[in-house]
Parts: sequence; structure tokens; C-alpha cells
Amino acid sequence: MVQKKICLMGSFSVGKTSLIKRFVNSLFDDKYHTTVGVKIDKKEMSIAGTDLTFVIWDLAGEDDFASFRPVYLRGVSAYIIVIDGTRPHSLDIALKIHHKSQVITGGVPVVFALNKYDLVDQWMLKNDSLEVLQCFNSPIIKTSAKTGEGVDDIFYQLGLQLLPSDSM
Amino acid sequence: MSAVDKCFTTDHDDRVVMPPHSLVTDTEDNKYTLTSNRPSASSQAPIKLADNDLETLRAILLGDDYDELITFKENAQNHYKQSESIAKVVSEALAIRSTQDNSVAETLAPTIQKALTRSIASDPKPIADALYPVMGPAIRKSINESLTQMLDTFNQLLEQSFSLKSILWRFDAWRTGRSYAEIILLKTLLYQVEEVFLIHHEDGLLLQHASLESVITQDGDMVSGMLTAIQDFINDSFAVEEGANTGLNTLRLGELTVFIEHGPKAVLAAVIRGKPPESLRQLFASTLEDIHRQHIDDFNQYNGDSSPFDCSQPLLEDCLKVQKQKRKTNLLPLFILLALLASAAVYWGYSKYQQVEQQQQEKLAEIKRSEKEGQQWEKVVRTLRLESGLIVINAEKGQYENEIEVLLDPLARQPSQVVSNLTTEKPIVFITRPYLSLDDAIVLLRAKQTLRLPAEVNLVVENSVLHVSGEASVSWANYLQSDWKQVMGLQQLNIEKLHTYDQNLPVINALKLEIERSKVSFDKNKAELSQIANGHIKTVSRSINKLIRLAKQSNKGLEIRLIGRADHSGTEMFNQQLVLQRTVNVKWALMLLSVPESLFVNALPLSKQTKNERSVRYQVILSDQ
Ligand SMILES: Nc1nc2c(ncn2[C@@H]2O[C@H](COP(=O)(O)OP(=O)(O)OP(=O)(O)O)[C@@H](O)[C@H]2O)c(=O)[nH]1
Ligand SMILES: [Mg+2]
Repeated sequence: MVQKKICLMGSFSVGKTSLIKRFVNSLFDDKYHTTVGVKIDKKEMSIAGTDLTFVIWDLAGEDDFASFRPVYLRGVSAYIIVIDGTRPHSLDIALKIHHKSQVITGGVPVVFALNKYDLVDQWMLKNDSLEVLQCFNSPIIKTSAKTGEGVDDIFYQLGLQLLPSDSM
Repeated sequence: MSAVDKCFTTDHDDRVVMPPHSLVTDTEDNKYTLTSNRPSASSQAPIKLADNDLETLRAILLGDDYDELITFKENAQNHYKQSESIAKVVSEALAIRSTQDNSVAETLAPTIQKALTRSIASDPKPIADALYPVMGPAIRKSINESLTQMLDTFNQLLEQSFSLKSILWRFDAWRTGRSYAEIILLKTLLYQVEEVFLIHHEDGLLLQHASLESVITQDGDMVSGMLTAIQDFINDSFAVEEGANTGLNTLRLGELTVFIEHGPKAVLAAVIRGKPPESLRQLFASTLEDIHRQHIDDFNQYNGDSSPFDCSQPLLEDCLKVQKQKRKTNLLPLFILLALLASAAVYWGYSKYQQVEQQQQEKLAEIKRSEKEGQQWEKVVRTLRLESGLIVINAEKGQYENEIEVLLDPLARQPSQVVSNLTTEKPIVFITRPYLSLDDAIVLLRAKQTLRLPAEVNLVVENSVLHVSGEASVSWANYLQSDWKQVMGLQQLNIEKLHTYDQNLPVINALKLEIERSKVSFDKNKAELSQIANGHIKTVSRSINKLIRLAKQSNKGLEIRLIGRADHSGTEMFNQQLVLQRTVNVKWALMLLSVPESLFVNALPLSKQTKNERSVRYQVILSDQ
């Protein structure tokens, strides 16, 4: 069994914890309990015939009080950056985090999640602002922790990038 | 290094010690032997030729064979090459020989034995390591089994015991979701290494995990992640220098302590319940070192696959130490238990004893009761039988009441009265029939009732004889003597002890005095009774008649003498005549008043007239008859 450490990052309240809860427990909660420090979860997944165990680190979102802690990225195999589609500012923060993480990790795979896609009417991200993300050549997935849309896909896309090249 | 290796090495060393020229000589011999079919070669030796010329000549003479020969010679000279050629066939040779006979095993056995002994003596580790996979699980299995057994015993022993401590422990068990026995085990433990995590230093992924079977564990992957995150956080927050054995090495969470040993590639975290001694760290550190040594390549090639580290499981399990507390503290609950058991036994025994005792007493009481009932009944009947004037003619015990039929003298006590102070279980109904009893007591009663007893008289009836004692009037005595036979049941009268007295005597004496004081007076020289005299005689006659009656009652003889007197005037004769006349007149007058004539006695002749009076006086003479 191959295990992989995965980190979820992004601004606060973008839905990192919710996405993991949906992915691991198939549950969703409307209430907001901000994550303090790190929360760790685990989920096994079979991708292209290979069994993977994701050990998922849910990092506290970056806000005015808690800033991004690179130390948690030690040994990370890949990471997910979550952006709240109803808050354009979360994209700015995502870019900042992504930049730092690439330097620290030496360029591990990444997936961008545009979360809260169920709230289309409040959607604030314009297509041209997404072009910046597209430059990184990494999967960008529209997700909703509430409906479950795209959630498994994030991890699937991530898993694909993590598979040893000979098994692909 | 194997024993066989050693053997070869020794051999080789011996050769090396030889001087080079002897080696050459040796080789020459060989060559000679090998090339014995061309003696010219050796005979040519003294010819002094240049080496090159000789070579050329040899090549011309021997052609290709010469090269082969040279190679062969070199091979023979070089021991390594010789060994190499033997090595090519040695195992096959051994295999072939083994199929033929046992000589290989027999030859090698002592050598191998010696080699093993030496190997263990110099360094036991390789052999121990080799045996470990076999021994480890067997030992662990037996430990696990005995632990489980112990838990079961603890459960049985202490499940029912109670004390404040055990209640608290039960609460703890309920709180933590552990079994009660487990809690007890934990409380009696000094410490217990419950889980050991081997965590990759970089990504915090779990490489290997070992835990006690009795312990409920969280998901190891998540715990190791969390442990790593905590360390990361601390290292990050407090700017601890990166490197082996730096950073967080102890975590305390309530009863749990986490010892963390850092290695260059991995971290070993041990979760310990209780109070672990620092010395445990040495065990963890050396275990981590061993793992690093064994898995250098695995660490370098690590890509998230933990399977290469599976073989470190026994080493981790070795770290799961359980240290019990000293027996002393362990014995306390046992003592309490024993004490409880003992007191329970005593109580049981006591209550059982009491039960038996009570039963016995109840039986006894029952017996006593029926006995008592019987006794009571008997006593009633016996009492009745002893009673005078009462004859029990039938006594029957009934279901609800008892019936007694008696003959009862009218003077006897009622039977119910006789037994009134005796209690009986059931009421008694008496049937009485009248009869006259001849019992002395009843006869006595009858006598008392019949004979009008004066106060000072005592009666006793004995064997139908009436004994009368005390004092009674003569008249009553007379009455008794005439009437005692009227009392039924009396055969005889005994009045020896009855003192009689005359109740009339005082009256008699008083009357006598009264009569004798009175006198009939006469006129001078006259014998005729004056009117006053007649009146006076009338009064006296009444007293005399009374006295006559009383004297008769008291059995006294009564006589009355009339004494006449005259005054001193007159002559004596005259006076005598006069006195006589006067006396007769009184006598006649009294006789007329019903005083019997027989009562009077003749008056004595007056010898000397002492009194100078004209009278007749009375003298009352009483005599006992
Ligand atoms: N409608 C909708 N709400 C979401 C979605 N995902 C998360 N939320 C809500 O957004 C809030 C924040 O979600 P969290 O998952 O706690 O966000 P987070 O990124 O973990 O926040 P921090 O831990 O503080 O960094 C919660 O109230 C969630 O219910 C989504 O896909 N749709
Ligand atoms: Mg969160």
C-alpha cells in the first residue's frame, strides 16, 4: 500500500475542511468551525488499478491572524489549493500560497479546486481571472462540498499525477 | 564471515608466509612434472640466452600448446585462480558426494558446530537475528495468551468486588469504553507501552505500527500524521534547529506520555500509559538505530510504500513493554476481596446456623407448646381431682374446647374457680352434677355451716372426726353435743380441747347480789306484810325466777334461805315467833309469785341477833352440780 501525504491549502473559510469531510465521510455541515492548526484524515482510493492511501492534511486557512506555515509541507506528495468562487480575494491568496509551496516542495503536483460551485448566483470569478491559474498547467476543478460535485475528481486528478510513471 | 571462509583464509595465510624462491622451486617442480615429456627444456637451461630469444624459441617449438601451458601454469601458481576453478565445481561435487554417502555431513558437522560456537561467542547478533523471526512471534504469542488469561482471571475475580476504588475504576471503564479488567490492569500498572509508531521523518507517513492487542487504537496513519504535525508546529514555532534527536521528544496527555525519538530518516514515537522511566528511551533509541541500519536502502528508495518496513514489526513489538506495579499494591484489592469473601462466608454460615437454630427452636417450641398444652390440660384435671367436694367423672379434649364433667358438692368451689389461675389453650366447658361429699374439708364446711359456731371455737375434721377446740359457752357445748350428728359425714366428736365457760354466771352473781341486798321491812311487833313489803317481794320474786332459770341453764344448784329479824325490844321468844311468822309470810308471798317451795331451805336458828331491825332478808345459795 502506497501512502501519500496531501495538503489542502487556501484562504480561510473556502471549504477545505468541508471538501475533506465530503470526500472522506460523504457528509456536509452548514456550520463553520474554523480549523486550528492541522487536522489529519485518511482515505484509500484505487486509481488506474493502483491502491493509494491519501493522508490528508487539512491546514488552517490563511487569514489575518494565522499565516501560511511552510513546515507542514514537509514530505508532501501533492497539494490542493482551494478557492472560494464567491470570494475573489481567495484567488489572490491561492496564488500567493501556490508560489511559496512550489518553492518549498520543489514543484510537486497540484490541483486547484474552485469551491462552492453550488452557489452559482453568487459566483464572482470571471473567466479571465482563471486564465492565471490555467498557466500552471494543473487541473482546475469546479467543486461543491455541499452537493459533492467534483470532490472525488480532485483526488482522482491528484492521484493520477502521483502514480509512478511505469504504471501509467 | 563463515567457518569455511576462515578455513580457506588460514590455508592461504600459510602459503603467503613461504619465501618467494621456494615458491618458484615449487613451480619448477610442477613445470617439470608437467613437461616431463620434453627433457630438452631443462637440459637447455644452462645455455645463456636472452629471455626474449627463449620465448620466441618456445613459441616456435610448442606453438599454441605453449600458450595453454603457460595459462595452466599461471593458474596453478595463482591460488586465487585455483580456488576459483575449484569453486566452480565445489557445490556440485558436494552434491554428488552427498547422494553417494553421508561423508560430507559427517566431515562438516564438527566444523560447523565449532564455527557456530565461535561465531556466537564472538558476536551473537547475526545468529540471534536469524532466529528472531521464529522466536519473536512464538514469544509474543505466549505473552499475549497469558495476558489474555490474566485479564480473564482479573475479570472473574474482581467483577463482583466492590470498593470505592473499584467504583471509580468502573466509572473509568465506562468513561473510556474499556473493559473493567483492562482498567484494573492499567491502574495496577506502573507503565505500559501501548503503541509504537515508526514515522517517516519527512512526510510524517506511518511506516510501521505496533500496539498491544488489548489496546484500542486510533488509526495509526492519522495519529502519526498528527504527531508529525505537532512536532512540525513546535519546531516551526520555537525555531528548533533541524537535525536528528532534536525537537519535541516528550508529549504528555493526561495518563498518556508520548516518547519521541528522532532519527535522520524516521521518528519512533511510543505511546505509554502510566509513568515511564527515562531508561525506556534507550530501548527506543537503539530500536530506531537498528531500523535505520537495516533499512538504509529502503529509506533512500522510499516513495510512500511502507511494505519494506514490515520486517521491523518485531523490533517495534519489542518496545511494547508492560511493567506491573509491585505486588504489594496489587494485593490490596485481593485482600479486600478475600476479606469480603470471608465475611460473606461467615455471614452465610451464621445466617444458615441461625436458620437451623431457628427451625430447631421452632420445633422445640412446637413440642413445648403441645407439651405445654398437654401439661396444662393434665394440670387442670389434676387440680380438679385434688379439689375437695369435686369429682371429675369425665374429661375430654375437643377440637375447639375441652369438656369436663364433674360431681360437685354444693359446698365445694366451682370448678372454673378452682382452675381460674391456670391457663389453657382452649376454653373448658364444665358439666356439674350435685352430690354430697364426705371429704373432710367439705364435711368441715358443712359442720361450720350447720353448727352455729361461737367465735372462739375451732373445728377440724380429720378422718370424719370433728375436733372442736377453743372456748365456748356451756350452752353451746351442750348444743354441740346434742346436734353434731346432724352434720353429714361426721363419725365422731372430740371436745377435749374445748374449754367451756358459763355465760350466765355474771348475771347470776349480779342477781344474787341484788336479791341478797334487798329486804322486806316490817312494822314494830308486826308480822303482816305491808303494802310496800308486798311490792318489794314482787320485785324480788322476778329476780328469783330469773335466777332460777339461769341457775338451771348453768347447772347450778339454787337455794334460797329466808332470814327474818326482829328488833331488840321484845322478848326473845316473842321475837322468835315474830321472826318465824314474818319469814313464813314472805315465803308464802313468794310462792304465790311462782317461786317454787322446794327452793327454800329452812332458816337457820338465829343464834345471836346482830342486827337490830325488823326484816326478812334473802340468802342465795348456789352450788355446782
Ligand atoms: N454552499 C456551500 N457552502 C460551503 C461549501 N464548502 C464549504 N461551505 C461552507 O463554508 C463554510 C466554511 O467551510 P470550512 O470547510 O470550514 O472552511 P475551511 O476552509 O476549512 O475554513 P478554515 O478551517 O477556517 O480555514 C462552512 O459554513 C461551510 O458549510 C460549498 O461547497 N458550498
Ligand atoms: Mg478548516
